[in-house]
Amino acid sequence: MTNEKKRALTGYLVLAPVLVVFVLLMFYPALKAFFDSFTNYSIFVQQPMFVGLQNYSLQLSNPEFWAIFGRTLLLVGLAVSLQYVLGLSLALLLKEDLKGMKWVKLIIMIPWVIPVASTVVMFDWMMIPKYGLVNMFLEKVGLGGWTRYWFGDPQFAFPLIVMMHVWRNMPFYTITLFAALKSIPKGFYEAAQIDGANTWKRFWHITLPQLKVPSMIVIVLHVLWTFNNFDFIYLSTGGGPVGTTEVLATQVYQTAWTYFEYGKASAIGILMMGLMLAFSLVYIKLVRSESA
Amino acid sequence: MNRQKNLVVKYVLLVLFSLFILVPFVWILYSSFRSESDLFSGKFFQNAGGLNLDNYASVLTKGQTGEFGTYFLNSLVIASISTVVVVLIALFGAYALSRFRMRGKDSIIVSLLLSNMFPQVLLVIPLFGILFRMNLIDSYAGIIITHIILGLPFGIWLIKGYFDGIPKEIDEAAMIDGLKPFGALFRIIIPITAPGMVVAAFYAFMVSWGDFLFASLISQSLGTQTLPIGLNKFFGSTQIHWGPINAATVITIIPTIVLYAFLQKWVVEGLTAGSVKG
Repeated sequence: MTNEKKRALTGYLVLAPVLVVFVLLMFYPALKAFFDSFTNYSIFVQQPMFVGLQNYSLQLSNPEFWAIFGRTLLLVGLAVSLQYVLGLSLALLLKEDLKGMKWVKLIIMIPWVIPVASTVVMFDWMMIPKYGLVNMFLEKVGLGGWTRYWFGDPQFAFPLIVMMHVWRNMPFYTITLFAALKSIPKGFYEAAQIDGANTWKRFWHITLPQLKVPSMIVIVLHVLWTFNNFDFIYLSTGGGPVGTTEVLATQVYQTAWTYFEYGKASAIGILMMGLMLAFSLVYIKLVRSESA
Repeated sequence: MNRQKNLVVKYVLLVLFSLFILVPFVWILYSSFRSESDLFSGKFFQNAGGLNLDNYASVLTKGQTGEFGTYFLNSLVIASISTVVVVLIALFGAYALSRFRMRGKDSIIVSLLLSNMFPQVLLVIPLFGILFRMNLIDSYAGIIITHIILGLPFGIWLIKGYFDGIPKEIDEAAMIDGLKPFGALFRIIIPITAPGMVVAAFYAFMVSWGDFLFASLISQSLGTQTLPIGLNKFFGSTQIHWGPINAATVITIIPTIVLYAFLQKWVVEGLTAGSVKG
């Protein structure tokens, strides 16, 4: 064996544990779910049978599915754009030399490191009827007529879910974009200032273009995260009230673990994965053309 | 004048952002020290001098909220073992991907990133079947196996970034000096990439500590239930005891916050490095 070949073999050996984990715990299950999605696999059948596209057509012809699908996209769109705008604003603010900045930098990531389950309790505790922080505050300022259980209100439950997503993940955008902002050469701004560009112009023509790559990375990561997230909704509203916060991820869970219809659940999950695959491919293409 | 007005606006914004981040924490921390009758007095500062540790005592000794100590211990064991396993596997994986020329390397790296796309709610269906056949339902090992998936892709990607930052000449020089490839890994590269490993470890711990989905399906009894499941159990019961729940929530979030406080500089650096480099 040549030295070169020997080294490559060592490489594969070193990599083996990773390959085992990926193949066994991710790719095999994904493939299995893909096959299951064409069967009537459920707790109620002894021998799952191939049913073709039935599980898919069941979903795609169901208006309920499309409503949930639309709501999922709305959640992702709202959460990610709010996270980006707020996260970038805070990053720009952090660049200013204000007093107390050190403290802000210290606390900013805390929402991101704590379990989602505890975030849900924290927000629910602020929103409970009458004795929650928000309702007590409304009562104090004379808006007692507005008090309610906010998570139980069909109009406010969904915005609250968006808010929890923003609260948790906005800090990640901030620290990423802040690091990127710091790496923009100062000379760019000085040159623009000499050319007479005002603050807005400098932002549009220097800052934003320089942030393009890190922005795309955080946005894609969070589109995937938010789209696939299950516990924020499951733990806070369980999809209610009256289905107003049901998303695809909670649908998959419910179909699999409340109704034990694994085949049907897999079909919804595979549709989710297909959409995210398409989204990621478009993204990779965009990045490639950017760096080319 | 204009400058001063600008400064005021900036401070106002900064305060608003800080409040947005902090209020939920401050409110639950404060509430966790108040008695239930004060919590439901409808007044912000009812008996504010009478803050006490009763809620914590009732959570930590078997009380109305039950077996909190067991949840905590389960979480600690599961998250610690997952962390060690993830860092070890990630270390070797990152070393291989950074230092060896192999066919299919690029597709492995791409699939690291793509693994973010797999919905966990989908993966858990077949995984449950696999763990069932392996007799690992309701065991630490079963939960730990699923938590490896959560921490590993990012861990490899992160540590690989640190490896890539070390010039190959350094390990080549070490090898000429008679160190085997693994000698180079352990004596030279690991010390230099220690910050990356710390961040990967922190991330692995955090995602394991925070997982609800996998743990809630795989654990079936108190012996394996973790904190998020415990919280959800208190929270979902018909009669919610808010005092103890608030204390339980504070106890649940403290370990990751303390860890983060110690590792803050490294974590921020590690998390941002990848996306700034592009």
